[in-house]
Amino acid sequence: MRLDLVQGTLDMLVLKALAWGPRHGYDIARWLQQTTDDALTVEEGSLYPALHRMSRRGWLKAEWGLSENNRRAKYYTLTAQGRQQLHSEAATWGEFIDAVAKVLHARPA
Amino acid sequence: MLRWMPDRYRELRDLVWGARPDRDVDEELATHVALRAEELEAQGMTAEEARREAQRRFGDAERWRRETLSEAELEQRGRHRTERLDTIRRELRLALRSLARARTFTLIAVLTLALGIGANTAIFSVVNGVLLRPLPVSWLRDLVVVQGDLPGLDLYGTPISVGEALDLAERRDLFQSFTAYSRPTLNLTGAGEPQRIAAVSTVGQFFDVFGARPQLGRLYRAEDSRDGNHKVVVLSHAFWQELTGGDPRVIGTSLRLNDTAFEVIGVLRPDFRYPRTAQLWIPREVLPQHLVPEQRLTLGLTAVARPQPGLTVEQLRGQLGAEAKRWHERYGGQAYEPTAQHTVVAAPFVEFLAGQLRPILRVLMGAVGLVLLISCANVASLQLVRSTGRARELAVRAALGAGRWPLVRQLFAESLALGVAGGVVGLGIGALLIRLIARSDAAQFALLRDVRLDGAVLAFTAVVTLVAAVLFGTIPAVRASDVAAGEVLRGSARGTSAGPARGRFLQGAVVVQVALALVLLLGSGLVVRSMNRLLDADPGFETASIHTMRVALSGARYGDRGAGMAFHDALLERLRAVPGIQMAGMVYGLPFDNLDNSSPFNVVGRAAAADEPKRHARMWYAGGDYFQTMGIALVRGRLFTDADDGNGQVVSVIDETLARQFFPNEDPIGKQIAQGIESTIVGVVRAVKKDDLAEPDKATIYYPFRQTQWMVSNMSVVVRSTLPASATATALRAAVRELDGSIPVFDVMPMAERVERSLGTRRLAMGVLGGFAALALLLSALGVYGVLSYGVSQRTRELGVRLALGARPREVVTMVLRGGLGLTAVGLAVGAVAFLGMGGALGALLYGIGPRDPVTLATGAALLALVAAFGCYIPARRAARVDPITALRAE
Repeated sequence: MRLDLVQGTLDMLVLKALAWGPRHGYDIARWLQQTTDDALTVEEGSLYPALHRMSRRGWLKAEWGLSENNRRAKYYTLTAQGRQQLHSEAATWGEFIDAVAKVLHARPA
Repeated sequence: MLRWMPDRYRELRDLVWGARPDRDVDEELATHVALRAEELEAQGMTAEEARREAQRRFGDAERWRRETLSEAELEQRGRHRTERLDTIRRELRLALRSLARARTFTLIAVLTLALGIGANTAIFSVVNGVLLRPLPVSWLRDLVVVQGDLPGLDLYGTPISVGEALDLAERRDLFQSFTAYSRPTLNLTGAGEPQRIAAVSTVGQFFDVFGARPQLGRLYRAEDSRDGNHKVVVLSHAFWQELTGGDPRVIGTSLRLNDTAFEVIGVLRPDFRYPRTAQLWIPREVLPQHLVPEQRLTLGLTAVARPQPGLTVEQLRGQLGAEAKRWHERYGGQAYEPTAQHTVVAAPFVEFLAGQLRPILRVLMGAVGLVLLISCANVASLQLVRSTGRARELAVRAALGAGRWPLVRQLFAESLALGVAGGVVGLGIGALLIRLIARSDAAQFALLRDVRLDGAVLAFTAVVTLVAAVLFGTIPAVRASDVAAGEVLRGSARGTSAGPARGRFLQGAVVVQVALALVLLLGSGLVVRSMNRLLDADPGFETASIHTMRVALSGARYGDRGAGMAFHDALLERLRAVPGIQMAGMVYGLPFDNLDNSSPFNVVGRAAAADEPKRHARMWYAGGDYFQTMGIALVRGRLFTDADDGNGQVVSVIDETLARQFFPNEDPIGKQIAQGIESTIVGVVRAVKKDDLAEPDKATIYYPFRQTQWMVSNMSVVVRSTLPASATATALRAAVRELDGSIPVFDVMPMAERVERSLGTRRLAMGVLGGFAALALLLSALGVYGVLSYGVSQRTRELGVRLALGARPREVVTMVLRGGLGLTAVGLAVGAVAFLGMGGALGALLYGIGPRDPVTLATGAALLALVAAFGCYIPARRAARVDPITALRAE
C-alpha cells in the first residue's frame, strides 16, 4: 500500500524522526520507511528542501560530522524550538484525525 | 540511531574560507544517493542496478538540488547577519563594562575629547557660517566684488560710482549678472511712528546676482532703475512681518519713504538676508546729472557680480584694468586725476564678506586644532597608561589563546566607545558655545548672529571624532597587544613589560602636550596683554558722562540749507537748557560710528616733500561745543566760534597727526590748505581714534558746520550730562520730538558703549583663546600626571628596593619629580622654539606688544611649569609611600 503524503505533514514526520537524537538525511528517510513499513512514499530528494527550511526557521541545527564508518554527512538535531513545533503539530494532527474519524463514523441522523 | 562526532576540520574550513552552500548541498545530496546505493547493493543488486534504483527513489535530482540550495542560501545570509551583530554587540558590551570599571579614566578621557571636539564644532560652525555659507546661493563662491583702487591716494577697495556701475553692467562678456548698491537709511512716515529704515538702493540685476526669489508678488528688474518713474519697493520677509504681521494684501499698497510714495511689489523669502540688516530694496533712481564726468569718482556703490563661467579672477582683473583705461581716455582729467592712478579690481565676494573677522578666525582655527591635538595625545597616553595596568589581564587572555587581533579589536572597541561618547558630549558643548558666541558682543557682526550648528558642521565633527578615536585607539591597542604574555606571567612582569618603545611613546606624548600647551598659552597671553594695552590706550577724547545720538533730516523738508542750520541751532539750544546737561555739540564724523569720509588735500603754495605721506585726510564737520563736550584737547591756536559762519573767512582745525606729518618743524596756524575748498588753519587738536582703538593715526581736518557748502543731513549730537544714561537718552529724544515729530532719532548710546562695541571681536578672540589656554593647561597637567603615575606604578619594585635599602622618602620624591620636570622642560623648550618660529601668526590681533614678547614668554613658561609640577607631585608622593614589603611581595 502506498499513500501520498499529505502536504505539510512531511515536516512533522521529520521532526518526529529527530525526536530521539541527531540523524543525517538518509537516515531520516530510512527511519520513515521502516517505521511506516514503506506505506508512505515520497521522492527522497524532497526531504532536503524541508530540512534546510526547518534549520532556517531554527527548528533544527545542522552540523557536519563523521559517522561510525568515517563517512562525512550532515547531521540534524532538534532544537528546543523544533521540539515545541513538533508538539503543537502533533496536537493539531491528532485533532484533525479525531474530527475526520467522527465524520467517517457518523451515522445518518 | 547513529553515533557520530562533529567534523572539526570542516568547521574550520568554513570559518576560514566562508561556507559554500552549493558545495555543501551537493555533497549532502550525493551522500544520500551513495548510502542508498550501498544498502541496495548489500541486499544483492549489482552496483549498476543499485545506483539506478537509488537515483529513481531520490526523484527529480535537479529540482531538489535547486530548492534545497535556495533554502540553504537564505539560511546562510540570515546567520551571517546575526553573527556579525552578535560580535559587535559582544565587543561593545565588553568595552562598556571595561570602561565602567575604570570610571575616573573614562570620565577624564571623555571630557578631554568632548572639550577638544566641542570647541572644534563651535569654531568650525563660525567659520562655516562666516566664510563658507553666508548666503543661500549655490554659486556664492563664484561671486566677485568689484572695487576701485587709487594707489596714488593710498586708497584701496573703494566703492564705485553710478556711471562706472552702469558701464560695467553692460559688459555681458564678463558678467552673467552685475549689480551695484548703496545702503541709504530712509524715513518711513505715515505708518505709525516715523521710522528709520535700512534700505538697499540697487542698479543692475541685484536679485539675479544673489539668486533671490520672491515669497509674494514679484521683484523689480534692472531696467527699473534707469529712470525715476519706477517707485517700487521689495520688502524683506522680517520687515514684512513687522510691518503688516504677514498680511499678503501688502502687495500693491504704498509706503512713504523720504516723503515719496513707493508701491510694494514683492516680499523676499525668509532665507534671503543680504545685506543682513536690510529691510527693503528699491531700484536706484539714475538721472542724467548722475552720469556727468564730474560724478565718475563719486564713489558710493558696492558692486557684486557673477562672472561668466570659466573666467578666473585673474583674467577678470585684467579685463577690468583695461576697462578702467578706456574710462580714463574717454573722461580724461575731468574725472580721473592721473596722480590717483585709479583702476578697477575684482576680489572674491566671500573674502569681502568675511572682512575683518578673517585673521581672528584663522588664529582661532589654529588654536582649536592645537587643543584637539593635545586632547588626542592626552587620551592616547591615558589609554596606554591604563592598558599597562591591564597587562596581566591581557597576558592571561593571550595565554588562553586569544590572538593578537581579538585583543586589538577589543581595545579598538573601547576607543570607539570613548570616541562616540566624547563626540556626543562634545556636540553638546559645541552647541552651548555657539549660543554663547551668538550672544556675545561680537554678534554686532551680522554674520555671527546667523551662525548655528548645521549638517556640514555635524559631519565635520563626526569625522574629527572618528579620526581622533582611531588615532588614540589604534596606537595604544597595537602597543598593548605587544605585551609578551610569558614575560608578564613569569612575574618579572610589572617592572619590565612596558619596554623602551612604550616609554618613549609616552615621553613623546608628554613633550608634545607641554609644547602645544605652551604655544596656546603664549598666544592667548599676548592677546590678553594686547587687550589690556588697548583698554589703557588713549582714544583722544573722554568717554565718561558723554552721550550721543544720530539725527537724520529728510531732504524734502530740510533741503534748504538755512532750515537745516536753524534746526540744529534750535536743537543744541534746547539741549543746553535741560537740567543736568552741561554742554552740547554736534559733528559729522563721530568717533566709533563707522562712517568714513576722506579725500585728498593740498598745502597751498607748497609741493609735496619727497618723504611726506600721501596728502589725504579725513574730513569732518563740527558745530556747537563739539570739542569741549568730547574733551578733545586744543593743542595750539583756537577752536571754532559762532563767528565762523557763512560770512567769515573759511577756517579749519587740524589734528596733531596732520600737523606732525605735514608741518613737522613749523607752526601750522595761519597756513592755507585746500580740500575741495581752501581754508585757513586756526587750531590744532589732539588726534582721535576713529573706529578702532588700535588703528594707526590718520590725518584729519575739521570744518565748522556753519561753513559747509551743502546741507549735511546726517549729524551726530553729543552732550555732556550728569544724568543717568537712560534719563539722558530720554531727554535727547524728547528734544528732537518737540522740535519736529517726523524726524527719526537713532543710535542713541553713551560714548563708552560705542567704544566698547568696537572691542567685541577682540574680546571674543580673547575669551575663546583664554578658554583654550586654560583647557590646554589642564590637559597637559593631566597628561603629565597620567604618565608619571604610570612610571611610578612600573617602578614600584625598584622604589621598594631603594626604600628597603635605606633611601629616604624625600629622595624618592625628588627622583620622580626630576623625571617629570625634565620632560616638562623639554616640552617647554620645544614649545618656545615653535612659538618664536611662528611669531607672526597673531599679528592682526596684537596691539602695543611684540609677537615675541619676552615677558609673556617667561610668564607663560613659568605658569605651565608650575601646573606641570602639580601634575608631578601627586605621583611622586605616592612613590614615597610605597611600602617595601608589599612592593616586593607583590612580585
